[in-house]
Amino acid sequence: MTAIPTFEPTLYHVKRGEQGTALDIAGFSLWYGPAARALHDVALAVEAGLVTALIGPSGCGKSTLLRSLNRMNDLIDGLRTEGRIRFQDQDIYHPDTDVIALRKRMGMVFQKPNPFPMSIFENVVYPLRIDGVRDKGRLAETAERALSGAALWDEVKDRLEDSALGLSGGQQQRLCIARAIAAEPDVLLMDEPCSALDPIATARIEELIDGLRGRYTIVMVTHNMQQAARVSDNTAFMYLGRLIEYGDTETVFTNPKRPRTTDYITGRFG
Amino acid sequence: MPGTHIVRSYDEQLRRLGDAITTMGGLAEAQLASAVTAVGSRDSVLAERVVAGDAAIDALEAEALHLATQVLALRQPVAVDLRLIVASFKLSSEIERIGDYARNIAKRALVLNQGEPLRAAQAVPRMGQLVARMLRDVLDAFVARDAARARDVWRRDEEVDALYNSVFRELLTYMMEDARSITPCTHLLFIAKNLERIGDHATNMAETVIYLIEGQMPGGERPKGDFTAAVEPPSAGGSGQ
Repeated sequence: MTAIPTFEPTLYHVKRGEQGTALDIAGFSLWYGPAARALHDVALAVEAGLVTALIGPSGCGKSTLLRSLNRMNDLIDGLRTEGRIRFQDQDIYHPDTDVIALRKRMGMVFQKPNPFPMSIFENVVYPLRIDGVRDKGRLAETAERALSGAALWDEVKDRLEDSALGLSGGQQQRLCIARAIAAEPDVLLMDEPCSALDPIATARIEELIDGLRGRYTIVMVTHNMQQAARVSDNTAFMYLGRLIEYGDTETVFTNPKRPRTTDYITGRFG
Repeated sequence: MPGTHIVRSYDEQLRRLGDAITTMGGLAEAQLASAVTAVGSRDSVLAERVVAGDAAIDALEAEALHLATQVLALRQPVAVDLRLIVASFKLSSEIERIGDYARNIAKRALVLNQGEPLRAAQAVPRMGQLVARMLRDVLDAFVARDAARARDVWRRDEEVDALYNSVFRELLTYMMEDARSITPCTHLLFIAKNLERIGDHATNMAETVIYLIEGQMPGGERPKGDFTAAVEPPSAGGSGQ
């Protein structure tokens, strides 16, 4: 077996966090079928406690990469991977890995807010309910902590028993973030968390993401490049299933090192 | 240079901004050449024209500022596009200043032309040509996005400084020889200083062009050769600051 191409930090200009590396992706490739290769030898180290944005045109593999981190892709028939993703000294794709336990440590927020058809309170404590937690005090305490963490507490504290479906889109998305936080994950994966929201709701989420920095490792896929520029510490640019450039966001957006990055972020023909 | 934008009107806006800077630079170059000629050939009509011509440069600066602000507000430029906006702000204010110096030289030419011709006035055109070439080259470097040429201009400022040194000393000698020459020589000294300052501005422009192309300012100490403000003459390789 040949050596797996690992992440080589000197190739890039990555902002380093103070908490080390959260996710170490090395030589990672993914096929959706025999002839449908979606990722080509991606090597990338996600810094713990920082916000990492994945950008690139549609079909570049950024969502595939995001979904590979908590093995959301497992359900797809004919899926095959190569290489490894290491998360806290554990190989995510090792046969012995407990996928459910893994996903508990990696909260996920989707493009469209997906609150469950139940009360605001029950939505937030859902992760505890499925773990069998009954203690009312602990549930209430978690709900307040998670909703405060998601900057939603003040808006909903007087109507926790109301249906979550009555909230606005932006509030629903923050509720989903609260639900993700309630499980006390280490990593938050966000797949275009603001694409269905108006500018004000988007600004609230961005403010929230900024506040979560340091406490969680956040990996975010976004089509909105200004958003990547505003909220992320590091930006990874992907194209045709390959990692083209990965570095601190400021450099990527003022002085990218690869011509293809320039073409994409400035809106030129690639 | 990178390719064209998917949105064509964006390219058009950036092109107009680049054109405004280039036109402005071309005007400043012509103003400078005319001002220097007006000194050398004692041409007061030409000098008057330079004094009146500065307004056109100021108007172009306003246009460049307007275009750059517009792109900033409407396109959220990044990477090389953002650097063009930043460079435009800087280049236009440098060129505007060069235009002011050219007008000042022309004004002093008008005063000088009322007195007797001076021998020392001949060193000024030489300095003027040197500086005008720097300005032309840095504008060419901007148009062609040629960092090597900009870097060449950046290094050439030393020559201008050296020439200014010798003009400075020469004029001092004349003033000591003949007190009646103090007034015209002082004007010439200011003219030489203006040219030296234009050289500095062309050097700043070269730095900005390098920033535009490479994403960072050139490293290392800027080459300097003007030691007229130094208390001690420089030792070999020393700095004049």
